Amino acid sequence: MVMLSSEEIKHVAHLSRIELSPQEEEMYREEMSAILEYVQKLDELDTDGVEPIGHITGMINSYREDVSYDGSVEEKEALMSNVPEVKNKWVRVKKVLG
Amino acid sequence: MIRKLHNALKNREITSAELVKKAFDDIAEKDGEIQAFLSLRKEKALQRAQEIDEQFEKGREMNMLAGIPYATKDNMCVRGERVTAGSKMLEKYIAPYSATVIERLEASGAVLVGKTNMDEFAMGSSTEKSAYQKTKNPHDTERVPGGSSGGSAASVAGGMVPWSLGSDTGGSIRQPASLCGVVGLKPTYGRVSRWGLLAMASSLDQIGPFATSVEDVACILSEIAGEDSNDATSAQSSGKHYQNFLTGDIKGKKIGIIQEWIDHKGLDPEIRNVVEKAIESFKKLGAEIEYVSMPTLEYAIPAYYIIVPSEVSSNMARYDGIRFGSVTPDAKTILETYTKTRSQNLGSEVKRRIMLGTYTLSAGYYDAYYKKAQKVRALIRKEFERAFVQVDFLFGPTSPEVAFRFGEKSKDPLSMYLSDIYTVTANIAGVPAISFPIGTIQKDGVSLPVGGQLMAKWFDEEGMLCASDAYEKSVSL
Repeated sequence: MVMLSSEEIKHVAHLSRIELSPQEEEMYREEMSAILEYVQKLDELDTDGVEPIGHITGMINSYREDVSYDGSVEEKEALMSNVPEVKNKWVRVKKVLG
Repeated sequence: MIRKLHNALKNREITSAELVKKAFDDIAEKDGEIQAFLSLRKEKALQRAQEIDEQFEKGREMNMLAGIPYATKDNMCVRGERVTAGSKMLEKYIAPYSATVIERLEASGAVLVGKTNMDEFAMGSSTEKSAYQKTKNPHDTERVPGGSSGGSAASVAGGMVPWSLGSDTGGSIRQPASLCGVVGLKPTYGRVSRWGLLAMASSLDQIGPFATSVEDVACILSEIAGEDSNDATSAQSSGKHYQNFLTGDIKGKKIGIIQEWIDHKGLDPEIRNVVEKAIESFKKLGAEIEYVSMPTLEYAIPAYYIIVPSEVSSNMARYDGIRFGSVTPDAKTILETYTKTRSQNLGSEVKRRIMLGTYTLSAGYYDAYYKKAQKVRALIRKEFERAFVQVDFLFGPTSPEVAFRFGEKSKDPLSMYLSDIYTVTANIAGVPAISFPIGTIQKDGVSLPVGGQLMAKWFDEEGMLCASDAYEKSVSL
């Protein structure tokens, strides 16, 4: 029986950048453990030597010219208008270190 | 319906403006209860309809879809318009460009009237996980329309628009089509460009149409299919007109019935009866029925529930409060911006999948989960290759049950996942699949639709549509 520990849930939540209340932590611990238990069913299949799927219809590579696209002023404005915090046309973020 | 409307438009028996006005009247009358739409664009649609009418007046050769209204699931971008994906995260997000499918349809002259409700970021099978509203099944408003494209299915089933677009990662077009009694098509992976579709699980996602007949979905596929330099996974296409392949003749075609699926203990016995009647109809059309065993398919669901969260956790990383989301005044550091934005704006199913995927992709677990699942996928693909040597198509139920009641499955994520047992396989294998109505059954005095699913070889949409259309015509005669 797979049972995630409280520490594992805390760690995964941190990596996912998601904050959990103690109740949520317990709820996800149970639900995710049940799902991980269920997917263990795959261990019944012998997959030794099987090549994992890359692209399902077998497409290999798809190339394009390596040219940059600068975009129009309108396109840039459209993108920037969705940014929550902008200062002097730059994306503003909170303190990165410490 | 599309051919009939097209001819009426061509002969000027009706105008596009009238069709579009009627769509908005029907939405005004019905959508208060059904709640299929998240946004409407009445002025733009009426203006576009007038432009199309002018071209019809001039006697121009017009596209089959020209002047006909449609709706799209709200996870496809339309430049300058809101795209929410059913999430609070994108409540104010205005798409800076249009999806390739939207551009192709615009060029065809199809008239977009609005965007439809969905489970948040397409994660769900009932449309109950939308952050905005609950869409009702038009056949019984106490029941769900299915999901995640529930709004698109209900908009067509409720008679508000002739057709709509959805997206299908594990059944999100076919299952709601089945539960709402309409036709829903998931093309071969790569058949339709995903550029401008908000990604859920990129190795499985595919866009497709809902409509009221097989011929209609064929007409729509002809317009949206084809290679796109903006989607490296999109496949080359010879510009086929799929509606021209609907000959009604399937004599000698071999249709496989998957024994394990028909015997599945989760299948409602009444649905099994309806499926068996449909099999008899295929026989009468001259098709040969063969029962096939595909034992690896039962591993599609566990593989799916590793692959989807893994890809979700990667695709959802962009929703960080910096390029998307809203200002978080209580955040003091960038880490708090990420965490607070995501915690406050994402729903529980999305969080569950992000965390599960983060776990399955994390150091030490990647081989045991994601890589294992991709190997199982290779085995499932092989099983399909073997089956398609023996038969031309595979037929069975789309969903193990008819539309369920609100709240019935929302407490247990695993039971919700199992409602996709017959649909996820086509995404896992990448093959095309279609759901079309094959009958109804009575539940609590209400007649509820049952869908049948047909799957075909990779890129054999024309054969699959021909067989589905032959069935549809034979039962309506």
